[in-house]
Amino acid sequence: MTSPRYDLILVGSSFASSMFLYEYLRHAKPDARVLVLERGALEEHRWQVEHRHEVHGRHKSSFVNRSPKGWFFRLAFGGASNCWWACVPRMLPEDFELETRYGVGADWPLGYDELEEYYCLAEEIMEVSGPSADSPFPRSRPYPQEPHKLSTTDEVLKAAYPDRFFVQPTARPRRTTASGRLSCCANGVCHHCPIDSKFSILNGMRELYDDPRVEIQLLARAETVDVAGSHATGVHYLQGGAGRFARGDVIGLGANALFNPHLLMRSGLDGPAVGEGLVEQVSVSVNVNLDGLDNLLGSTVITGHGYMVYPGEHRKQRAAGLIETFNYMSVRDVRGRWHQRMALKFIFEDLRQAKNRVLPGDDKDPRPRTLFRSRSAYAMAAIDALDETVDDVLSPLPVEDVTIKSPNESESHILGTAIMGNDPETSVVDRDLIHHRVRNLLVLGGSAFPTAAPANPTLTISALSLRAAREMFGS
Amino acid sequence: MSMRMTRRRFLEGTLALVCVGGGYVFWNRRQRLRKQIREHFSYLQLERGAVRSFLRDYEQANGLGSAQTAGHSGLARKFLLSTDFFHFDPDESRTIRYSRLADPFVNPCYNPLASFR
Repeated sequence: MTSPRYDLILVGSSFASSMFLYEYLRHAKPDARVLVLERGALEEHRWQVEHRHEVHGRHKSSFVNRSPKGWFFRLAFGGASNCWWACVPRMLPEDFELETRYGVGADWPLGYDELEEYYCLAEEIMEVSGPSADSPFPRSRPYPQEPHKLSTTDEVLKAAYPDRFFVQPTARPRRTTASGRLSCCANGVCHHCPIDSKFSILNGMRELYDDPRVEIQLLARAETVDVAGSHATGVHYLQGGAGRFARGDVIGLGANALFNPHLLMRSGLDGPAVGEGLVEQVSVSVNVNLDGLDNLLGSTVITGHGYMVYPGEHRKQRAAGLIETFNYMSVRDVRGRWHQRMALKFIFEDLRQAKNRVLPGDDKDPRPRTLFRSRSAYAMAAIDALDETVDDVLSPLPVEDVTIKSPNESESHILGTAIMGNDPETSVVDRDLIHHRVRNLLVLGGSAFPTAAPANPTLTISALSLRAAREMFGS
Repeated sequence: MSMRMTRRRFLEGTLALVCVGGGYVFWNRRQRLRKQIREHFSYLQLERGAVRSFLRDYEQANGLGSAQTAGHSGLARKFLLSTDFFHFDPDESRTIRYSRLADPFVNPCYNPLASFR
């Protein structure tokens, strides 16, 4: 029996694959055939909310964690879009030139200006709310929605740091979207938003999968890419206990940064950079009690974005950090001072290190393994200085006391294991996310990030995928 | 006519005692919890039945007995958020009424601390 043939096979259905598919379908011929292999099930939003306790932690059995930290993600149709908090800052222009500007990490093989158009497109697809006239990034177009409302403490920080503190751009809508998503009502449980307000692949891009050109196979786990010489010919996958094979003219791996390199290694496409450099940002939560200043009245759960310790020359010595200010529905248990508290999160970049990596499984246990020895000294220098940083940053506020917690287990932003670059000896894919040797194979998603800037990576992942699809047709 | 203690009657009697005893312990703990919350906010005028309604809704959402294992301070704060105390400028002289459970999975868009205008 002949295996079915497709113009495009995509592995995964999260942001990386779905954004690629979005742009691909705009350019593809009417009779194109696309196969999407998704190892998870399609779990409707209502089901996810009702079964939220079961869903949490389910991913842990899909890999072997040999790390002192966790790696959080979601295995289901739409992947991480089901559980993300919809924070969508862009990376700063300097994030693409980390090595040139600061002598650390690496430069990206493309710059902010080349991605700007695709940032705009991704923001339109997600109907992002943000501060168009007062943004830390150069913008060619306004955000689709007006910004959220800052909380009372945010307003103080904004007055003190007019060029370093902004309303957070987010796919938690300020008002009901054209596609019918309700405005965010700051319930603070975005990982299972009860009103399905935040953007997800399920509520925002599902129609792609209804396109007659697209066939999706659920509970279908990609095993290997079949490669003949420098050409990928198809994907072997497991579904319902049976091995299957689909032939494809173009293959895109849009799994996360644990599974993309694992698939490459299992397919014989290993090399010095494959699986190497497993990295995540490091985040630290900070609780503050205030003296005489109330914190309330924001219109979403994360209202502010502080860039006070993000750009600048300190990046030569220690990691940049992005600050999120939270607007949780909680009060302080002190009579008359109910609102005199605030919660923040400092998110620091980290550097890729060769010792941290994804390893292939074996015949006995084919699951990928993570080997993460430690965070970089560069990131730890920022963490070690956090006491001082917090004091400086919060100096405009009447701070009573501060509690700095231990670094969070995972930021759910797994990056850096099949990076983009110009040199095939040190990178896996080129600036268009095409594999250096196998030119009809793309490796999409966070695995391509050569650095792990403080900005949440989803918008950049999306912009890169949109760009990769358009470049493919352009060339 | 004499009642003979059969094995069956003995087991039924024991079961009944356990049920009554367990029910009493549960009721007693619930009473204590109500009292603790009322005492925690002794400086507020709580409407009669407010704490009872809160505990009922809390356990309906989180499971029977869940309030008894929740931390005292957290439970007290959740209670206050579930009243109309924050609907206006917090006013300790006003009688505080139970509004609805401050739980995003029960009342998704109830957040008296946020502002959307």
